[in-house]
Amino acid sequence: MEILSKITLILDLTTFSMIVGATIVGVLIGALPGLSSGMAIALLLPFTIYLEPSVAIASMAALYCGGTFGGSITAILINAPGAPPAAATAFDGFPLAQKGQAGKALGMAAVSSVVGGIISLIVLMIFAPTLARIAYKFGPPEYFALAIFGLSMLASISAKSPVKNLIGGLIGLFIATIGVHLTTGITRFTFNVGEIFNGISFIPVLIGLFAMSEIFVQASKSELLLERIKFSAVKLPTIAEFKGCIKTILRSSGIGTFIGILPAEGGTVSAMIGYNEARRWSKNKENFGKGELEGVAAPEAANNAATGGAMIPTLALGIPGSATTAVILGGFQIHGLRAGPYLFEQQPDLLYTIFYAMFLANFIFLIFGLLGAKIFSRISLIPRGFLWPSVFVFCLVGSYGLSQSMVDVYIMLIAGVAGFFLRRSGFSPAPIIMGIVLGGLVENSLAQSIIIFDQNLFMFFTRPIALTFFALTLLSLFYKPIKNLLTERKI
Amino acid sequence: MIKDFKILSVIISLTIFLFIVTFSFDEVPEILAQGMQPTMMPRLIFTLIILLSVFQIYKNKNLLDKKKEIIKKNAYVTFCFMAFIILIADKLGFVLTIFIFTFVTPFLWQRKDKLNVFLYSIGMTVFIFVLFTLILQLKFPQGIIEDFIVRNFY
Repeated sequence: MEILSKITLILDLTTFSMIVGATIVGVLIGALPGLSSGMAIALLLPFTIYLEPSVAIASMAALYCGGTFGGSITAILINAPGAPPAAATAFDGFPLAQKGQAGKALGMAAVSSVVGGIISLIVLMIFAPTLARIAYKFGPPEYFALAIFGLSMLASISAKSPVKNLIGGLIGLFIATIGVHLTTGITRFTFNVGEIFNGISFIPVLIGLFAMSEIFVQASKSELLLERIKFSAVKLPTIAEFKGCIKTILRSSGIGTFIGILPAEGGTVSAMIGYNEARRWSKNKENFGKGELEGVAAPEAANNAATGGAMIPTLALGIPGSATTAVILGGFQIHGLRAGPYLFEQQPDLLYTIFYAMFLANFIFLIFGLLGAKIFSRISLIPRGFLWPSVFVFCLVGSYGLSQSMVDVYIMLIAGVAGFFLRRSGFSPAPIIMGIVLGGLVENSLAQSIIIFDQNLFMFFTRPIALTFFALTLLSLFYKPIKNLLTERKI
Repeated sequence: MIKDFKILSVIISLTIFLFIVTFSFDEVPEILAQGMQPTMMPRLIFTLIILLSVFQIYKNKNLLDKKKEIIKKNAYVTFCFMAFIILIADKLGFVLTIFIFTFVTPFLWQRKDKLNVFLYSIGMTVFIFVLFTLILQLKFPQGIIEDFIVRNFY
């Protein structure tokens, strides 16, 4: 019962208030179309340096949970999903709101989000230490193979172009090579700019790709006309209605947790698959898209379950399970921590703090989701002319704040412009971030493997775990193309 | 034009340029490099980027580029103003920079309520100053206003 006694870790005033505050900020930001929890963490990351590492990481985890739920509020009330994972929630949430049942939709979204979140956290608490114990046996060759597998998953999971995702991941790997090469001391791609001799700081690139590029996207858009829904009386779903959806919620929670564990964009894909599966198994298939409660429960349970799922490889292996967890891994780096199996041995209290912060976040957004949804939804009505200049100010201060260097601000601007044009052409910023996060691991573990193997790369074949990851890499890269080819031949 | 041809061409060109840059890196003695020269990883990455980009162009050979949403004048103006503001930020000082940016940008984004914009920019500047300079003790570039105050009043 050691785990229960560890609840005291989040009960001191600073930690508790930071977790509550981060969850509320997460819900608010998640509710804003265009602002995601990943972007919020990226913007706030430089300032967490003033906090204890455990408080900082716990706050980020809480913000991640709050942000994932927050997207559903505006998806239901004004048909403008605050974040991509909530897009599927709008399919049935908004029609319900139009029928005057916004309260039911919000209540179902909140409860199913909590159930999904809690189930995935239980899986996280059981599975992450087990995975970490397995990872103890990993040497550099296994880590190299694992990192390559993580990058290859970009090709098979994302709904967008797999090749573009792989190119994005490779661009991230390239950015990670900038600066002094650790083994030899040779500087690479610094072009005599002294400030980047130690490598390009993760934060400005992150802020540029996520936040600045979004400002340019928003600058190119017309004022969004949102259809507001009146809901004077918030009627919550009945117990019978919850019972009717429980199978869907549990199924979607399982789907979300599993997809979350796979390294890539977990939340959005989980929600879409959760929604499709709910429709496939439902007795009321024909009501989907017209205002079906199961259509709200399924994506919400799935996308919130993906948060706990995504934290499993992040904490146990140091491989991000989603774009937001890649940003959280950046937080680990800033605080001098390294996620992975040794974290479980050396910093168990940090892990308990993260677990409990995420548990607490789920209950906080349940309360705020049920009581304050109407207030939260109003945040989406902040005029764009005030919102986005404010985001820019945070980009400016955030990118400058960590190293107090204007070079970081210039890097942020360059990353923002590059991100804008890449996004216009269908590239997602998430693979680039994953590439940057994994870059050091890929190069260093390969260098160490070459030394261990005495420069004979065929020695990888003598390592069964590494070989398994390479086999999975080939599977994730070629499964879809081969399946498509076989389908075409059948036709 | 073939779908994504422009962006992939830019990526390929930049990658080739960076590939050429790797030839300017110093060669490290084998005993120090231990089987992995500093050029190895970047060259591997660049080769893969080029191969994947060429593959994507080949894959799209029968697909035409969709007409993308035109980038509005507003986006260019916003970008130019942001770049300008960033370039002069250390001369102006962050406080003045933030005030000017938050005052001008809402007008670029078609807001017409001058008083609200003014109150917003004052509020935002004060909020940033109090939170980051006074509470978090972050040192921003001081710029002309702070220099003037220090020179004349201290």
